[in-house]
Amino acid sequence: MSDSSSVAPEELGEGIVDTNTQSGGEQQTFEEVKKDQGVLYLGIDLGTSRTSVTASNGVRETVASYVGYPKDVVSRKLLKRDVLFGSEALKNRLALDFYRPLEHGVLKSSDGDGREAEMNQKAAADLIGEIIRLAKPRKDELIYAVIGAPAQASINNKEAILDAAKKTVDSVMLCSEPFSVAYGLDMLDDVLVIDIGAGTTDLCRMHGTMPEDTDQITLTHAGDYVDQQLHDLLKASYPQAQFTIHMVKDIKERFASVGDFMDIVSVELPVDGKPTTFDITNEMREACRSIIPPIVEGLGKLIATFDPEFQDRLKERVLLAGGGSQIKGLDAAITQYMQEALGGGKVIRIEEPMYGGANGALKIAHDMPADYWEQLK
Amino acid sequence: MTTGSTSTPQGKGSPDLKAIVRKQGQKLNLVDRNNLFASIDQAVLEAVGSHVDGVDEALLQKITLAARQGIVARLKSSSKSIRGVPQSAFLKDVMAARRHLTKERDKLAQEMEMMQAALHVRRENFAERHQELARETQEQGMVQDQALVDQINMIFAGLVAQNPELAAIQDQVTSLALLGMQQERQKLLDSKVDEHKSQVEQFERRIAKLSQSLETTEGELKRIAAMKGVDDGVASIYRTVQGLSDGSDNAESKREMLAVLFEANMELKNQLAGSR
Repeated sequence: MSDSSSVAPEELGEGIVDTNTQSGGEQQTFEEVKKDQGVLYLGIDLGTSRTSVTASNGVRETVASYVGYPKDVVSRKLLKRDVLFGSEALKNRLALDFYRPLEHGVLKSSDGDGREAEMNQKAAADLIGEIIRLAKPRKDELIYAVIGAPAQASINNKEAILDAAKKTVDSVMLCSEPFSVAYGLDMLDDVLVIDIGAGTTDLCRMHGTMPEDTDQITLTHAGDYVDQQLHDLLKASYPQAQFTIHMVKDIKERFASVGDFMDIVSVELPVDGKPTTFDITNEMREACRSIIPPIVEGLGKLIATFDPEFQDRLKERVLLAGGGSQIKGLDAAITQYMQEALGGGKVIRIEEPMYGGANGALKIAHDMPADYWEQLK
Repeated sequence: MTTGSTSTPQGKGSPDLKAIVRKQGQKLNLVDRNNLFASIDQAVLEAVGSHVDGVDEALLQKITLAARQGIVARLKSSSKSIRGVPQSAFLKDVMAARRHLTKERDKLAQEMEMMQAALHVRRENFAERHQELARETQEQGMVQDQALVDQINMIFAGLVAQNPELAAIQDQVTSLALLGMQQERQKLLDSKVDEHKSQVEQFERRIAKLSQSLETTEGELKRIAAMKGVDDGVASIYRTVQGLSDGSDNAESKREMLAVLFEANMELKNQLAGSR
């Protein structure tokens, strides 16, 4: 293959269509690039609220799982884009057909019909395409991806995710999110994983083998549930205040805490258009604590159905992961509640809640044998 | 479901989970810059230590710093040579692809414009023709109806004269014959209208198909335009597929889990292939 670096692209004539004919067949066309220059592994955590990727080229990126398309020609010209993602989409949502394709922990499109379903499907595909693009893959490298999908994803969900990913990667696998978290931390034996997302909280029991359906419990008591609780509590306490669920979510992400002696949460909300300060400490604590009892109840079920000889050990090895694990004091609060309700417990928050799932998926991708990847192409 | 395993390193007592999490978490930073530097430092230290006794700390620091800079510079400078396609060739291909797509787009747009004009003419013709047909059918119908009535009258003329009661039957026969005749005419008219409609629909389908091709081409063009900046991406640290190393912690159980995960994905793949 010759290097034609002396020819600047600007100098190329209009008549050039096939580079092979121009260079005596020595150059390789873009379409013919051989993927023999390396292997890029991607670990993707496809979440309701955020989608994250970690890659074997060192790139780590996260984007809020929002997708927006300009509503009309005017907004398209104004935004200068055909599609917007993440916080940018959220910021401009009034000018966009706005989608949150993974609301409630599943791809909204895959089990529905009609234009809305079709657009959600497109939004999900675009989101997956965007997160892969953010990983900066090279065109001459094989791309192998493991995607942590919601534990309760239906076959239609999985098909939609795979279809979207296959547009960009060479081979792709799906795995359950809590499993990828545990695998990433090499904690595969006698461990309980709590993965708090926005749409769902997945509880998973690891016992040295691949977890089965009976080892997993999915709850809807997750980030969105806390948002709704906080929204309702604020409405009840301060009926004069004006706010949206998006504002509540933003406030929660900044101040979420369950501690008895947490910092005062003081926020400004408009009242008849005038910014007014409210102390929402109690509402914040109550809303954030609302997910603890159902989580501990779920843990109790997984513990109770485990070998009695190892139940105590299981209680003492509980991993807290997912975006929801960033609620201040949540690990200690669940530990305390477990001790009261289950007679013991110890919860450890993982070091990188945002990337726990993606890191695990990357590790799975790395460890997967070559022939498995080949067969899945 | 299996019961608790005995293969864990944390067999008895109260395990320091935080330490485990921290330790294992660090393993995940496969390409972390600091880890790379730490590895370089360690390698330099070992290399120097194995050949030289009592190297002073400052000199050792200088050597490690030089090694770090050297490796980073080498990685940067050699990055082009490990790419599948030189940047200029890549750009050249991008531009060729763009020109090809532009031509394709223009051709499609022109074709679609012609098709839309043809459809417009056909629709107008159809509306006119429809009115014309309806008018012709009505006019012809009146003549045909009159001829039919005359024929029936002729047939019944003598009979009614002999038996006046047959006048009622004549009326019935006339009504039924006229109705039958009108229905046949309507069928004929409908079939002509259907023929026109199917031609228009065919045009519309072809336009929709062209429009879709145009949209795809536009999308490709946008993609090519976005590539103009030519971000070649960031190279992976791996040249080949890795796989689980034998020295990995819990290698055997991990291998089993990976196999189960693979089987589940293969099953899913086959299931989806079967349903398509």
